[in-house]
Amino acid sequence: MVDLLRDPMNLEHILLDLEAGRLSPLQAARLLNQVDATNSSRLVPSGDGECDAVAELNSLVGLREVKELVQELRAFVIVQRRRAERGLATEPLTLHAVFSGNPGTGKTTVARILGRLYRDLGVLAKGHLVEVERADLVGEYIGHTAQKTREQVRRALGGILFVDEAYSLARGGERDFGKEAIDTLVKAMEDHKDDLVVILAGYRGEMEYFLRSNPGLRSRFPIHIHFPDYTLAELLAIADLMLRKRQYRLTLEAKQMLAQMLRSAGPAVSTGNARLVRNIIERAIRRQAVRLVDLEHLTAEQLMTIHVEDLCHGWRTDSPHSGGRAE
Amino acid sequence: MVGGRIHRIAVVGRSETGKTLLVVALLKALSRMRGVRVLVNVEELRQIRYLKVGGARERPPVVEEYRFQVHKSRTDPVVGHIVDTPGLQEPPGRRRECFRAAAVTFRALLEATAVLYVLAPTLHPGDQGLNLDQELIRYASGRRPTLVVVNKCDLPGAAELVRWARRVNRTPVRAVSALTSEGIAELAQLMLQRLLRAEV
Repeated sequence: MVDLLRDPMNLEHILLDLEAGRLSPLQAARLLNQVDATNSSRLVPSGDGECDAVAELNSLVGLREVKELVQELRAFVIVQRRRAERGLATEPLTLHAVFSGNPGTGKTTVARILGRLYRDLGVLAKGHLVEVERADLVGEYIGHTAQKTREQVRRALGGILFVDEAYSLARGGERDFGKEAIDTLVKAMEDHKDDLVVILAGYRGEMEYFLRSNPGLRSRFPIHIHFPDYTLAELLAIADLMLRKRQYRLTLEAKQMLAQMLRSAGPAVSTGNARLVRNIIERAIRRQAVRLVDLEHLTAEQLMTIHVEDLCHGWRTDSPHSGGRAE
Repeated sequence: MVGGRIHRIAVVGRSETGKTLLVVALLKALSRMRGVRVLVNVEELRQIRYLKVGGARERPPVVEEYRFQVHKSRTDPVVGHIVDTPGLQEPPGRRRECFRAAAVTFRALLEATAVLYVLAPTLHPGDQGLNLDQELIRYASGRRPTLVVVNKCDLPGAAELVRWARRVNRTPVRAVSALTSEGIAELAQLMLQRLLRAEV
């Protein structure tokens, strides 16, 4: 139990659980006080906060290249500022980026951390993340699109506008309003040069095609980060982190079964990467509850342990990825 | 960075305690103080008021930040941000938005260097929400300079709420009314002294 409270990721986990509706505000507040009692925490501002965001990024599983690139960006921003202080010529700070990768590879998580990093570096005033997709930007009649897009831009000012599945703006050809959304976005990027960072995200192939078919965009988004699929070992590490956070643990056989399940789930493209891990674990937690609910005199040990049958049960009966994926 | 660290004062509380109007009133009071420059224009303040009329629930879950500077002699200005946060609901509503908003508020609280925790007498002692208030006041005051503000002090029940707040925690409590401006100037003064340690 003490381990959980010492887990440096703990505060972030509480926030994520609250955001996802797994904790009520009251439960989250109680947890905060518990964490706080045992652990002086990372999220408490220290004055030179830029290390917080980097430390958080580094605590994510895998994502080696992403971490290196973010380090480069941070160094670039700081050095450009030092050059400015000495009156030397500076490179323009264009931080608009394209994130490519399959679902569940960490694009949104990294974007959120980048927002905080930029805020701590003084590049953005707020550093919040506004997540939008095609339906949030594209309207139904002439003029509606520009209005909707500008509204989302307004919400994102001082922070990051994260356009998920951005390639879908280019579908439907010349007459589609998606093109108008792109034009409005590009104009907003020029109008709010110092106050807005736009990140376009989506599958790698689709994003490459999208940028190829809109040559003007490529130069406006100088940063390209690819999020590779997690390896099996990384997925298992993620599972471990999720379980520890929730104060559960797997028996040895259950661990082996989890590895086997992830392996047989097939190419990560179809399985949603980290999201698949989360689904399997949440299902197993529910199955464990069903197994225990009618028993009496449960020990803490029993309440924490997930057996192999808890994992399998959900998998065989009601998992969307069940069965024949390995064929 | 030039100007030293930025003080972020999070204004946190449950829905409909009048946080946004309190922020507007505080900014106005600050702008009237000598040596303080509020970097928000009047037009923007009017919009905040308007937003409130539209109902805080219609707002997307983001924080709104308002900057001000305190100029003390001989030194760089002290820069403060007042961070207005989405209201918390306990028990939470069913909608996903409600939890997202709560996460935004919690994040702002964790990242703040000081906290104004807002209560209002429309909320009765003994309800579940007060447990949330108590936990959050305890969390905030354990780590950061914190002030508890009982807003809407012109309504019945305010005195009882002040007593409750004094009983549960040693944090200083002030009763104000953002609507009538009662106690606002003193609160602004106290905020600068205690939360920023920048006496004007």
